[in-house]
Amino acid sequence: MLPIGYLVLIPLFYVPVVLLLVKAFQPDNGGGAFSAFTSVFSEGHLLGTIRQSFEIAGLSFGLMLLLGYPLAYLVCFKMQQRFQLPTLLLLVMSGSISDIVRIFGWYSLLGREGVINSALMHLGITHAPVDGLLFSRFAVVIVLTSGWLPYVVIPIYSAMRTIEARQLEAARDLYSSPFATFKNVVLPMSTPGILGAFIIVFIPVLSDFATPQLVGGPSSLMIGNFVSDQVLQVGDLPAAAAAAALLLAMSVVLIGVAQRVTRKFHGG
Amino acid sequence: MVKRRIALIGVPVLLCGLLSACGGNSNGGINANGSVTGTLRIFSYADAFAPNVFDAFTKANPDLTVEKSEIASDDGAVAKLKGGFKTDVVNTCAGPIDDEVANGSLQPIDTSRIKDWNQIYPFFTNFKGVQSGGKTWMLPLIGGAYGLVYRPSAFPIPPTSWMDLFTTNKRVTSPDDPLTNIVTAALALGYFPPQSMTKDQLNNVQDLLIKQKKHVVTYYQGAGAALATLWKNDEVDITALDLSLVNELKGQDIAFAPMSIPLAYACGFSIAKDAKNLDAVYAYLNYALSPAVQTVQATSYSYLVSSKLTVAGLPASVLAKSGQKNLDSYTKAATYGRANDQAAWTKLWQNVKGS
Repeated sequence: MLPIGYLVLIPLFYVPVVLLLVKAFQPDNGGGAFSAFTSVFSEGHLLGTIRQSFEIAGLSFGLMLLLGYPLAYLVCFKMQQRFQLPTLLLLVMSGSISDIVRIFGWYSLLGREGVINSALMHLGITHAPVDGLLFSRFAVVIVLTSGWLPYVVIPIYSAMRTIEARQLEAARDLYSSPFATFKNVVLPMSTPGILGAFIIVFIPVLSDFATPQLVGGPSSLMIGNFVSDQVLQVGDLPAAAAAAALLLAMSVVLIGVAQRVTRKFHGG
Repeated sequence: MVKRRIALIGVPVLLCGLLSACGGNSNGGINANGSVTGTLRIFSYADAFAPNVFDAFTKANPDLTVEKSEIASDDGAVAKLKGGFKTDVVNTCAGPIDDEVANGSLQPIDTSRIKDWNQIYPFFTNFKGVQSGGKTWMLPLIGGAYGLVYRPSAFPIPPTSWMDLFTTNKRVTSPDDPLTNIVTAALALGYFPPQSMTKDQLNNVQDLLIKQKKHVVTYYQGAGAALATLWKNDEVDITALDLSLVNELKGQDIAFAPMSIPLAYACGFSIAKDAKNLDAVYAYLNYALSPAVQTVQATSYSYLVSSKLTVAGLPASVLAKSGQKNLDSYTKAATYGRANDQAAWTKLWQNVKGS
């Protein structure tokens, strides 16, 4: 008998995925099974868009780790227990702000008349507003980072919580320096959290289309924009389905790799 | 027995409820006083629902339930209708209407039920897409002409030709749609009418749009609100548009430069394929064409209006501002309409965006 979870997964996940694949492999125009894929790749810029999507998602995830890992560390090891949950709740709340509201909030920070440009000019660092803070790849990375940061902190924090105080004490007893303790105890034991964060965050970021559309420049397209354009502008649903299927395949590969690495760290 | 009675009553009630929830529509009717009843679903841009435009209709038809849905973009509306979205009346423009007709999303309009159809200017009734295949697909209500909207502080000498949009080193923005970009580039290169360009001309248009990209800040999405935000925040200096933004941001750093060959558009209402309450549909269409509504559109938004009856009552200043007085000259304008080879246009635009 199927586990009860499949009653939800089958109609809400597997059926749409199968329909997507059917659409991708059975195009309306009666072409061959791979004609939608051929058509998608005949758009010379798709590969460039995929490469750019990985660059933006990679940069964003890197920045999230750079900010999120120390934050998770501080909350887990340097903050009193009673403040930890409220801090995490605040983080979750910041992540649950509507994307549109957050994006337009960044307008007032990064725009030509925004806070950053005003401060730069007020301090005499620049004499005119700096273009390219908004409507650029930089803006896309910053806005994605701000939106997804909580979902990086929480899995890393959870992994760090599994580190027992006695393990840290043992390292100190063996005259391990703080850096060596971090490198040999904290980092390996929190790596599954990093990989969990990767699975949770990297794939949705890779397929995002609203952020590049609203704060990206004319050349900051991601694969999600390609799919959206195929539906809304070109009206080519098989091509959109083929591009989405490619994205799905890339996601499956990434999840597979992340799971293998996680198992390795768990000693499985 | 009680259970059976409940079943006898309950099943039809449940079925009725399900039918109405699934979009079953009351056919409605007409009251003795001429007001219409039932339900009317309207899928439109927000300006049609503005209180000064819409409320008089609901007051005149108190027994009518109106379900409003807002359109976010032309492309989105076309896709939504194609996907089976249920409505009775849809707000559309020359351009997307060609797709909606091709997709089978609309039903033809019976012009004998439009009281003042004969009062509509030929500029509007002859507009590409309004009538095709011997049928009328749109009740044209408003129109306008694109020129260049620019920031006077960035352009001490106003732009004079479409090419200024492509050769400037100021900050440019355009809507994220193939039509506006390709037509304006075609006009800049002197290709007329833009809808019938040859392959070589299309290649030249593509090259021009790709060259322009380094000065494009962003291809904005949706209707005017996004552009207004860009303008107010001093992010852009020039774009192709009608007078609407200049009127909205009156007194700010913004001006309109008309072009010798403008880009004209026409918008109005169409009837969706599945519309059932046709009495309410035609009541609404007649209301939308009435001088009361069109006067608001001419005075508040500076649109060109389609009815001679409306124009007869408008002050000269309003007519001058909207360009209504130049209506005859707009028959020589480029029209905001789909290309003969639309697939080539969408591919071109994808190439530009992906370059």
